[in-house]
Amino acid sequence: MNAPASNPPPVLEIQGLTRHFGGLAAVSDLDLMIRPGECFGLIGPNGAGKTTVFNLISGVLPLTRGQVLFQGENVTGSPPYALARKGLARTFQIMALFQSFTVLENVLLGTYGIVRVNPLAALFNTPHSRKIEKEQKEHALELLRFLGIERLRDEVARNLPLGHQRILEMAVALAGSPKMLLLDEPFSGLSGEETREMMGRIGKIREGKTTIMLVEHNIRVVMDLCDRIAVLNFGRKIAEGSFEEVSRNPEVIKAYLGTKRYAA
Amino acid sequence: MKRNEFLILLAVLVILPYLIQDPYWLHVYIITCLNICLAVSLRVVWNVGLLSCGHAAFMGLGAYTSSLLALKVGISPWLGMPLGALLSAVVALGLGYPALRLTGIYFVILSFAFNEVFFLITTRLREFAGGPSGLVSIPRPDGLPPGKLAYAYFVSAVFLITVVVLLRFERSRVGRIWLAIRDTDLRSRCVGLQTTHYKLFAFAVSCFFAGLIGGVYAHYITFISPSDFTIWQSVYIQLYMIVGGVGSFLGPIVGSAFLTVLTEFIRAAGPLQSVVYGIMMAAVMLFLPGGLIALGGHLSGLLKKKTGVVKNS
Repeated sequence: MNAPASNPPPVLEIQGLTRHFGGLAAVSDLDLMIRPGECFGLIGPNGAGKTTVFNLISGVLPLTRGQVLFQGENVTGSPPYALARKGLARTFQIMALFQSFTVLENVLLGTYGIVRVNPLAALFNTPHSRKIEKEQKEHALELLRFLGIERLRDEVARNLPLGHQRILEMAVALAGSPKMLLLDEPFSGLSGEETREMMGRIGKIREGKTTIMLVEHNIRVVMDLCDRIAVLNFGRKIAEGSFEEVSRNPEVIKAYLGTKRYAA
Repeated sequence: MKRNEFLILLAVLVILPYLIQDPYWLHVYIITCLNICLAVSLRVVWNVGLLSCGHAAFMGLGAYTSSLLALKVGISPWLGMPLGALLSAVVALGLGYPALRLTGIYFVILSFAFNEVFFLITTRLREFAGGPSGLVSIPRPDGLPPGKLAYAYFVSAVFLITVVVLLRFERSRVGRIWLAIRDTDLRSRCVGLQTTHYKLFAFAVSCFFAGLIGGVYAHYITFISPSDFTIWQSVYIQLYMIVGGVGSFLGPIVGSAFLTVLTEFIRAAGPLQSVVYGIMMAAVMLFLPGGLIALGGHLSGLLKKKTGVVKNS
């Protein structure tokens, strides 16, 4: 508040985020604050609750306790479609593409919920609805060009190899020009070359002033891409800070880098 | 809808009844057109990933509404038929609001139950709706010349409206969103689409046309009873859709036309008819998952293979 220039208000703020599955606390009392333009990494061992955090933020799962503030507005318990319209987009680790549609149509579908047309106007194909459709198509093509997959525009999503599906996953999320993008393991299953290319793409998205929150396993990727990192273990935050700070934390070394067997 | 498709469809609908002339086959034409409309409208719900077992009840709702309005209040069928369609759509909205939160088998069961409830209510309403014996002497739409040919042309017009509207919906962005929800409801929600609203809308559109067809059927046949709109009728509509192929708009059209006309040829088989249907359904599911509509592709594939072999040898 005192120094707004050096300390702008956070894009996303999470307070006391908690989610129980029966007796199991998948996420407990998680506090996070993500600043505009930042790339924030959320890491942790398998089953630490990273994807659950994304599901809670994006409204896919109801939370047991806590608060989510997006751009200063309390969006706790908002349904996914409302959050998407406010500019909070996400991708899925287990990919959720519109399988029977082409690449271009997938991106177009990503825009339909953001810029909407009355169904009856669409039925009668009014000049207004045609104009919007045309603009959205141009926007979608531009996005495909930006991500370097324009040549795939007419491929059906289900026929794409995994690497291309991961890019399309991101394209669908970016279609609505979100202010913040939640990326759930966008590198999983990619080859070395594909990983490098994907890092380049995420870098380009950041240049567009989109704030990014990234869930990732691959430490090297997180080290290169993220400004700040939080480490999750058994649903609790055990460390937060720059990569150097976090990697020196003994608890992180114990939890994340594993037992002696792995450390050796 | 493309201009050429529209003109071809229009030509067929104008010329076919005139060519048929024979009252018996005109009857088959009318029933075929109505069955096609039912199957095509049922596919709208299928497109959002739901299978409705209550389509006959919505048809019945339109039929009873229009007939009762004509018999008890004296309202012209020309007004009664669209009113019946609207009531069907409104009831679909009322039923769909809680039901569309359900997915898969739960929605199937609920729509099944709705069909049964409709049957029980119409059977019990002895005073008002004739009970099990139904309604008789339902008037034909006033001003329509007597005879089957005139009604066949009226049905042609209803058919044209139904097919044009539903095809336009399917090819518009709304149709794409429906199919997208079918692909992945979760993702659709996460890109800002209010999937429950779109499903509700699809359900209402589907039931609107079921209700409309119900009215058109009632004023044609002039006698309806609860047994015309049982769960089995719903199953037959599903059969038309699935046997034809649910993957494309043309599928239910081909399926309904094929099975309705086939019924006339196997009528002599009496109760064995349903056996034929059952075998047909099983055969399509096992050997032709894409439906009859996929047969063309398979045949041309086979032909190509054959000619390819000839060339090689």
